Amino acid sequence: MKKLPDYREAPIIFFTLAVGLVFSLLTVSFLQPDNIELILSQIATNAIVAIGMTMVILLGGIDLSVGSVLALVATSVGLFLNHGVSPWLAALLGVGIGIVCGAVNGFFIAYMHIPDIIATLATMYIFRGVAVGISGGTWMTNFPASFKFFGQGSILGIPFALIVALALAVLFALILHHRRFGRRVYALGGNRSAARLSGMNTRRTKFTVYIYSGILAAVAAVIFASQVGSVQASTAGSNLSFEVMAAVLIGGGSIFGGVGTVLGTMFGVLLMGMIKNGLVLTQVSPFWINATTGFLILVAVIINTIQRVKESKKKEGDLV
Amino acid sequence: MNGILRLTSAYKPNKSVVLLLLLVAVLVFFSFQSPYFLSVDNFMNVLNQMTEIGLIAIPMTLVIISGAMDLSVGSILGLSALVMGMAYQSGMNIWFSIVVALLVGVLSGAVNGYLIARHRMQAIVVTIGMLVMLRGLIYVLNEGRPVSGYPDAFYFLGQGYVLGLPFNALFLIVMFALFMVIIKRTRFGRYVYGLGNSEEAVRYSGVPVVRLRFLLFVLSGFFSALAGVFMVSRLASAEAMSGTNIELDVITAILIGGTHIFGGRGSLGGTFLGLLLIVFLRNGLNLMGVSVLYQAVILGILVLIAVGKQKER
Repeated sequence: MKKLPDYREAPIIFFTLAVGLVFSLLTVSFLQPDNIELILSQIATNAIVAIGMTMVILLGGIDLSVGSVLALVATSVGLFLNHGVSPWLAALLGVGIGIVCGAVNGFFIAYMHIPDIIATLATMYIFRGVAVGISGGTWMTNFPASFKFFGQGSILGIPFALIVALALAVLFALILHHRRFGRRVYALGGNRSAARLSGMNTRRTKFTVYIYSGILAAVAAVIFASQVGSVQASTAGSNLSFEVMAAVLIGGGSIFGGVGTVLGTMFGVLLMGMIKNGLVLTQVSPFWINATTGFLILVAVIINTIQRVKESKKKEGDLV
Repeated sequence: MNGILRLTSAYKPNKSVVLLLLLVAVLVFFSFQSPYFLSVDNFMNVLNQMTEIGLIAIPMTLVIISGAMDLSVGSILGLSALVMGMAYQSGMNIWFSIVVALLVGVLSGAVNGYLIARHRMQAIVVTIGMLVMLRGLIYVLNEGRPVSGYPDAFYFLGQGYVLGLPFNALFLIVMFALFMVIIKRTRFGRYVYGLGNSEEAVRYSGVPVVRLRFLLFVLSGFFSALAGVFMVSRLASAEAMSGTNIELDVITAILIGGTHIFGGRGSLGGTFLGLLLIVFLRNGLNLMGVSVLYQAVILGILVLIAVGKQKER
């Protein structure tokens, strides 16, 4: 039995609870069921994208293109809907586009050996460009009422978006910890040469991870489009990759790969969502939200670093 | 040993020649496409607009060669630009306001450097945190309002001409020349390459690694603030959004210029060529009336082609 502080997620969970406690002391409405539901449905899209980003970061990679994939999928789903395609089919086609985007990333990274940060920087431009192109520069609006279900509907009183996010989180947490693919992701991120020498098909694992990242960004895009009701291709998800990366790293992931869990990431996303919501409720000027988020990222990094130093004194000197 | 071998091969003439040819090809292509492209006015215009990206690209090249990265430059640019505007509005002398802006840049860079160099935190993460936080501070300070109305003498920095060339472009070229000499001829320059190749080896040779890395981030903050001052002078206004996403343009220029994303290899000359390539490409495509769609796609494909061959070490 491990002691509680030994769990990697422990600091982030305590930190999240502490922030929640502070906000609930500051304002009565923070802990109201309505507000909790609001926070949870607001973070659903980020949470879904963050699952994919967790895997990418576990590999020691970075996916800068998720925001552009989200914009591209949301725009195309909007186009499909406006041409009379049924919501479920449109969503499915959207996920298909996400797979293609992921495959493009995966192809360049895994098979062409282009460093992930460069490949996804390039596809970030490309996907965003295509999204703006097919949208013709206009807003995507006038979605049919039945499409609202994805982002605003609920089953048994629980928001559908939240159910999807939770289901995906549990699914991928199980895959990462109990399936061969998941263990390969950790192995590859932890020690690439060892993974290759043990006969693992490292290319296919990498490729698969980017496909999953594309799929998850696409699912998030469908929910996003349904939640906001109008999509602008040039701005949708423009800060997404940074926000999601921050959540993964706050949640205990390491940019060098091999370390991190879906559970930690989910708390990272939750923490960032709570801060946004709490600052609005406490009627701090909305201009403070970004400043505080950035500050908390730094705090989380400091906590993480302290923990890492404790874990292995040897592993100093890595910088990216 | 390996590190020393890499040091000597850090300069690759072939790559610069390829870039130069590519640049010439772009220039020739666009001059056939648009008669205005080769005009003096247009050239001056392009040179005038590349200053901010170019200024930030100088320390960023060094930072990337040293094996790190600074994503907070756009926010530092915006913050120092705004602080300068606010200082001037509160009755301060404009030149003194510029000094204040530069101090803000140095201070922000010092925070980055302190956390990254002294406490060995992950550079990407720390600078993302600063990116978000400083951009937030900009909105906190002035609630998103722009600051405009500066004395005429100040506009010389971004709009004035010396010997028929834009002053800011001349300044940029002088800075590039200065840092090319520094990186080639001083120990500091050699250490930067060494840091990117093997930090361990550099440390064991008795080089103050922490101070070196700290200095690089301070330099990056300083130049970002400088770029902010030039941007305000050029556009006559300090906007809350100024400098957003500039880090991506900067990094694109550097990567196209042949600098290795994982550090240890690269050159300022390459960065300068990469910079010229993307600004002329953008300008030419604009003149041809190519939509933003294809511009973004072309830029993306260019990145993939130009830097696709970089392998992880």
